[in-house]
Amino acid sequence: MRALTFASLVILAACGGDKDEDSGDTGVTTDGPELLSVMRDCPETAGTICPFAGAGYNGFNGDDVDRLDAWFSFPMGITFAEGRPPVMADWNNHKLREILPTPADGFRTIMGTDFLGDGDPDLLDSTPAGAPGTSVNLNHPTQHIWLPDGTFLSASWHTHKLRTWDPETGLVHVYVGGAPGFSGIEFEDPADTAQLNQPKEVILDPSDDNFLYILDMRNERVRRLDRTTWTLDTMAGNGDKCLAANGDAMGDDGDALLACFGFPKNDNPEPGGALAMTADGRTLYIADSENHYIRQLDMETGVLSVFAGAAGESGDVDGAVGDARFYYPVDLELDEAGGVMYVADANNHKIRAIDMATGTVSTFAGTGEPSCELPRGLLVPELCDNTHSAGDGGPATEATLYRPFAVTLDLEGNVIISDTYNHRVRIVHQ
Amino acid sequence: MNHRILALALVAAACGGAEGEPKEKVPACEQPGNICTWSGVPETAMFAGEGEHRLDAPMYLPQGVAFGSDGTPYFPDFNNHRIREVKEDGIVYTVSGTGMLGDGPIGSSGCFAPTPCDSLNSAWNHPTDLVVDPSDPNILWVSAWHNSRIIRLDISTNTLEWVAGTGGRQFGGDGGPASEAILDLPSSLAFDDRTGELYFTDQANHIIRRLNADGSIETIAGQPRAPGFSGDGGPAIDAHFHGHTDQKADPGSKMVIHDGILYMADTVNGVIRALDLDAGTISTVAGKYTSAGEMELMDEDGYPYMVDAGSVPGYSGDGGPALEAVFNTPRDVAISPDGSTMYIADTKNSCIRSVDMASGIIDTFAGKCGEPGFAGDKGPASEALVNEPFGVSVDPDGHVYIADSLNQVIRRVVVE
Repeated sequence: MRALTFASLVILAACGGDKDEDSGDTGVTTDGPELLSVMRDCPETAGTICPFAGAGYNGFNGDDVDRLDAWFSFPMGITFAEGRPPVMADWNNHKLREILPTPADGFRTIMGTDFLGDGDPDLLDSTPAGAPGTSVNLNHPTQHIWLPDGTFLSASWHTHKLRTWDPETGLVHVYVGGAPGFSGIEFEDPADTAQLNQPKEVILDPSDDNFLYILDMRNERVRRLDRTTWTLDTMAGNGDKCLAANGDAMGDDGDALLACFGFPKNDNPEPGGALAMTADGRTLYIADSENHYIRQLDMETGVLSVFAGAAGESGDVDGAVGDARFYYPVDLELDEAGGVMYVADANNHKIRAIDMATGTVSTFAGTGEPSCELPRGLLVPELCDNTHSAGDGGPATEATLYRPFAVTLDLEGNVIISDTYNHRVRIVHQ
Repeated sequence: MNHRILALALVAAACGGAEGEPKEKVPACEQPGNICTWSGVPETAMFAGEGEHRLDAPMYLPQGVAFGSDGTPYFPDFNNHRIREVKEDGIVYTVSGTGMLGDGPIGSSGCFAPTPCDSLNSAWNHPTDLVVDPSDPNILWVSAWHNSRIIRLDISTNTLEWVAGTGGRQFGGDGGPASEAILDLPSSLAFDDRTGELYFTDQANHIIRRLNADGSIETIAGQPRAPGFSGDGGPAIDAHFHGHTDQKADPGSKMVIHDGILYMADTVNGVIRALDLDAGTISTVAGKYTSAGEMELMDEDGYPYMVDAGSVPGYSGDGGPALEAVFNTPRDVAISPDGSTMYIADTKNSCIRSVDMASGIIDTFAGKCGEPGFAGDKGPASEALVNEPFGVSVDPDGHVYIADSLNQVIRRVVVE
C-alpha cells in the first residue's frame, strides 16, 4: 500500500504534472524510504529483550513521534531518576531528550537545537544567568546525571564542558569547562577556570554527593570536583596515553596518579572510558577502553589495580574476572546493591555482567555478532534490515546488538541498553 | 527496492508515451526559474536510501554539491559524516565514511602519503565541501571541517590521503609541508583551473591558503587569527576577514574561483570579497559592511577578550547596487559558468541572492528573505521558501543548486 502511494507520487513527478496535481502545498514528490517497524507486542518476561525506544533509523524525525517510531543518531547515555522522565543523550543529533512516560507522547528536547555548536547565539549560557535549553547548541553529548538539588548535569563531550539544566526554569548554563585543555595544576584547580578535554562521563560519589568524578577523556585523567570548595583535582592518570599492547607500562598496583590510561586521544576519537563507584565510595571502577580492561581505584590508598580483563588483551571470554576478556568496554553500570556490574562491551557487540560476589563475568546480552552482515564493509552499517528485529522477543543472549555504547538500569532494575549503531534503545526485563 | 521498479513501470504507462517520444509540455522541475527538491527528503534528517534514487535518499544538514567534469554530482553529507555520489540514473552511494565520526579508520595511525587509508572504512567529522580534481575525475578533494584537514579521496582505488593539516586547530606551517601545517576549520576549497593550484578557506584562521605544487602550504590572503574587516583595494595578504571560530562555529567562509578571481563569503563581515589571484589584490563585490562594534570571545585559556563583532546583519538592497545591499551571515557564493551572475547563500536570511555582474544590481533569486520555511517546489524559486541555506553552487550547464540545510535537501533551480 505504501509502495503504491509512493509510486503514484513518482508518476506525478515524472510526468511533470501541473501545480494543481501536486501533493500538498510543497509539491513534494516522495515520502522517502519505506520504513520497517520494531516489535510492538514484546513479552515483558524476565530475560527477554524488547524495544524500548527508537525505530532503528539514523536520523531525527522530531520529538512529537511515538517512542518506537522515533529516529535517533547513535544514542548513548540514558539516566533514570525518581519522579522524572528518563533522559537520553541523542549523540549525533546533538540533543538531550526526555523520553516521555506515555509512548505515544514521544519526547521532549531539554537541551540542543537543530544544529550543532557550543552554547546559545548570545553566549548567555556561559554565565550563571543561563539560556533556554532549546537555544543551546550541543556537540555530541555523551552522558549525564541528576544532581542532589534536582538539577541535571550533562557531559557535553565535544564542547569540553559540563552543562546544567534546571527543570524548573528550563535554563542551561556552563558548570565547568571552557576552551579545551588541561589547566596545568593538578590540585585545587579552581573550577571557574578549569579546563576539560572531551569529558565523556560524570558520576556522583554515592557516599558523599559533594564529590563529582569526571572522566576527562583526552586529558587521560579521572578528575574530581569538590562542589563545596569548587575546586578540581586529579584522582588517576598522569596525563599520558598508554597502550599495553604497544608495551607501555600501565602502572597498575601503584599510585593512581602515576598510572596511565588508554582513553581515546587522537584528533577526532570516538567516546571512550567509563566510571562506576561502589555505594560506600571506597572503590572507583574505571573502564580503560582502548586497553580493553576494567581497573579499580582504592579511594583510601590511592592505589590503582586490575579488576577485570587484562591490559592490552582484547577478546571475548567469559569466566573469572582475571580470565575474562573484553573488547572496547565503554560503559559501566553498578546496581545499587553492588551485586552486578554491567559492561557495555562495544566491539564484542555485547553487554557483559560481572557478579561482584563471585567475580565471574558472563554474557548478559548479545551473541557477539553485529546485527547484520555488512553489505559494503563498514561503509553503510546502518542499512541493515535486521536492525529492526535483532532478536527482540527472545532471550537477550540470543539477540544481536551493534556496538552498544551505554548500559543503565531503570528504577525497577531492568537493564536498558543503548544499542548505539542500531540507533535504538532496548530493554531486558529482570 | 521493488517499489521503484514498480514506479518506473507505472510512469511509463501513466505518461502514455513510448520512450523517446516528445512530451507535451516541459516538466515543472525543468522549467526555467522553477525550484524543485533535487536530492534528499524534505524536512527529513536521516541517513538512508543507499543505492536508492536521490529523492529517496535522505541526508543530514547538507552543505553543498560539486560536479565532476563528466557532470557527476558529489556532496558532503555533513552530519552523516559521509561523502556521497549521485551515480547514473540518480542513484546515491556513499563513497567514503562509516557514519561514525572519526579521523580515518578506527585505530589508524594516520593516512599520510605514502600510506593512504581504506576510504570505505574511514570516518570523517563534519565534511563541508569538496571539489573534483580538474585533471582526474576520480580524485575528490574534501575540506574535512571538524577534522581540520584537507583530504584527497581516490574513488577508483577507494583510498584517501591526508594532504594538509595535522588535525590540530591552530595556525601554523606556512612555507613547510602541508601535512605538517595546522589549520582551523577548513571549510571550502577550489581549483584555479588555469594553473591547477588548489586554494582553501581556513575559516577560523580568517585566511585563504594555497597548496603549492611542491607540497608546501602558503597563506595568500588575510591575517591569521586576526578577525576584522580591512584591506579593500590593497594587497590581499594584508587584508582582514572574519569567519566563525571556536567550538561554537558554524560552517561558513566558503568560496569559489572563476576566471582567476576567488570569491569568498566573508561571513561575519556580511560581505562577498573578491581576490584577484594574479594581482593579489582584494575588494568587496557585494554587501555593505556596517561595524557592529566589538564582541567578547574566550581565549585558549578560557579568558575573555574583545574582537571586532563583524557587520550588523539585516536584509536590504534588492533592485539596487550589490555594494549597498545588506546580508545576514552569508556563508557561500557561486558564479555562473558564463560569469554573468553571482549567487550568494544569504544563510540567516533564508534566501539566495543574485547579482548581475554586468550591472552590479542585486536581487533575490530563491526564497523569501527573512521567511524561513519549506514550500514552493515546482513553482518559481522567488515564491518558494528555504531554510538557512549553507551552500550554493552551479552545475556545468549553469543550473543552481541550493543546499537547503535546515530543510535537509538540495534544491535545484533550472536556469535558461
